[in-house]
Amino acid sequence: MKIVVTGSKGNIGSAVVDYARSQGAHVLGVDNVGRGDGLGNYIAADLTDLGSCYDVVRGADAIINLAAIPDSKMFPNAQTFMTNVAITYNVFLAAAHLGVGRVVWASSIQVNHTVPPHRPVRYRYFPLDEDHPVDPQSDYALSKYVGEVIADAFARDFGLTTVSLRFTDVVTLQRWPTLPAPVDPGTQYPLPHYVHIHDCARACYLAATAPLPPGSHTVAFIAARDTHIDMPSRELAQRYYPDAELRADIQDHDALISGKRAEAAFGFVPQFSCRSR
Amino acid sequence: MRIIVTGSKGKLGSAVVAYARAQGADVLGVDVVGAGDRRGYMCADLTNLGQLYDVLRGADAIIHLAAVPRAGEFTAARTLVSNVSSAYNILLAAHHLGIGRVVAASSIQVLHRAGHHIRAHFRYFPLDEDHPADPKDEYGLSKLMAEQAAQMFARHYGMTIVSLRYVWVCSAEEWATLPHPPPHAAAVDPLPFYVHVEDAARAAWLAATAALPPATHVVAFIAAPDIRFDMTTAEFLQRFYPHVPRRSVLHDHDAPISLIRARQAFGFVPHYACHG
Repeated sequence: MKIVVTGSKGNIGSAVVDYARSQGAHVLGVDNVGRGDGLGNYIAADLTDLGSCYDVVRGADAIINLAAIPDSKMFPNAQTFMTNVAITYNVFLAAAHLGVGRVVWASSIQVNHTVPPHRPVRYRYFPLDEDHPVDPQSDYALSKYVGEVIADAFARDFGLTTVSLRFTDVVTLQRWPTLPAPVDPGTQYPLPHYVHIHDCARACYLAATAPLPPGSHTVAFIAARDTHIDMPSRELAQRYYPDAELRADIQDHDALISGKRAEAAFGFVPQFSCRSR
Repeated sequence: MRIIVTGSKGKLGSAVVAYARAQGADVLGVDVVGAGDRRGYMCADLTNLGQLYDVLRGADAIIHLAAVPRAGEFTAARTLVSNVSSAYNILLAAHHLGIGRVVAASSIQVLHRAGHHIRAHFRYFPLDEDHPADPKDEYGLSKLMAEQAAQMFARHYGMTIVSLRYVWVCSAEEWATLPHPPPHAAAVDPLPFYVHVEDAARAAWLAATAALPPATHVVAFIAAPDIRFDMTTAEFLQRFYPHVPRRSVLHDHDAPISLIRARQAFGFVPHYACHG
């Protein structure tokens, strides 16, 4: 099985490449960093250029598209938005035209909740799930939301099988020992959802390889089963999001986000908790 | 049969589109002019590889005529880079998309461009495709480089590619002015060749559709069987190329260029001759 992983030099991307290779996949990494190895393991490409997209994705069984400007305020607003949307659209288009049937790409929980928020965050209920109304509040969040719309359109119109993974706070190995942590006193709307980078990488691989209905678009949060904040979850919800309805029996530090969709659709169950090390 | 014709708004391109449609082909014309009509024409930048993949997919054959058509319309580097990149992009995208046949417009200018006071250095007449190339400017060089790209894609990627070395393609209006008066005695190494646009279009169609083996690159001159000047070929050669050896007897107004390759490879014989 050949998988093309874009953004392969990033935190998540490099973990995905390693995990997919450990599972026996033939992986071509693509990023705009440095130069390729000339051996088909890594190639440097600008994915805002459609021609480069066609070239690098041909022959793949699945694409895991993680290439993006990873947050707001790293570049001017329009550049962030246009770059991310161009990459997303180009990869879907090239996949559709070249018969690559599966595209997994990195959306973000920021479609629900920009970090930091520009306006008050109004969660309507917990655990948060994929049916909750979105509220993108930045160029970055908007680019991810538009990407989900694109993923939906390509699934419907071209029969692609697409998966939009709404990553939560992806915790690197370096940061992992610092969790769980107190609520940042400067934060009005703490975001307690997270996922270990190895779980995140495995979720990408499962989304790329698990049986899924052709022409389907799956949107799924990728999160641990607990929070990474040391305040009990019920207290956190009531203090910071008093308007949110609690729809489940939330105990201790249970996650305030649902992992049911990812588990049901492609069998992803997180293995890492910052409380059980 | 679906054929993509690039440069479809040009003199030759529009004739190729009309001829191919008359033969029953499903033709998509592509050019940089105006906007597409959502049926048989699409506007695209062929130096952009991504746009090429998009417009080429589904084709059985590509007739690639789009190019900056001569030196002097743009700066030299732009002409060269534009022509070479569009030629390479076409071949690469065709290869990736599994399109096995590409016909590309090359030019007599890989051998010589008249009118620049540059000597021709022809080694023999009639010219043929084995004559050493000797481009005189960025346009001729771009066409020679495109032929070399075609050679690589044919030999190493299994494609069937025909590089048509067109001489001066004359429109129906220009045809009415033939034959031309003999060139001025002071003219430097003038070229006597021409081909009627309808013959040129038919040649492209034949090259795109004739049975040809895989992994083949055919280079062929496309020219009328006679010269465009109102003088005999013997007079013309004696006046302008007295020291160039002649390898065969040229009668009357016979063009001093070989048409054997085009005839043998894909059955092209010109219908139009201005000397009747």
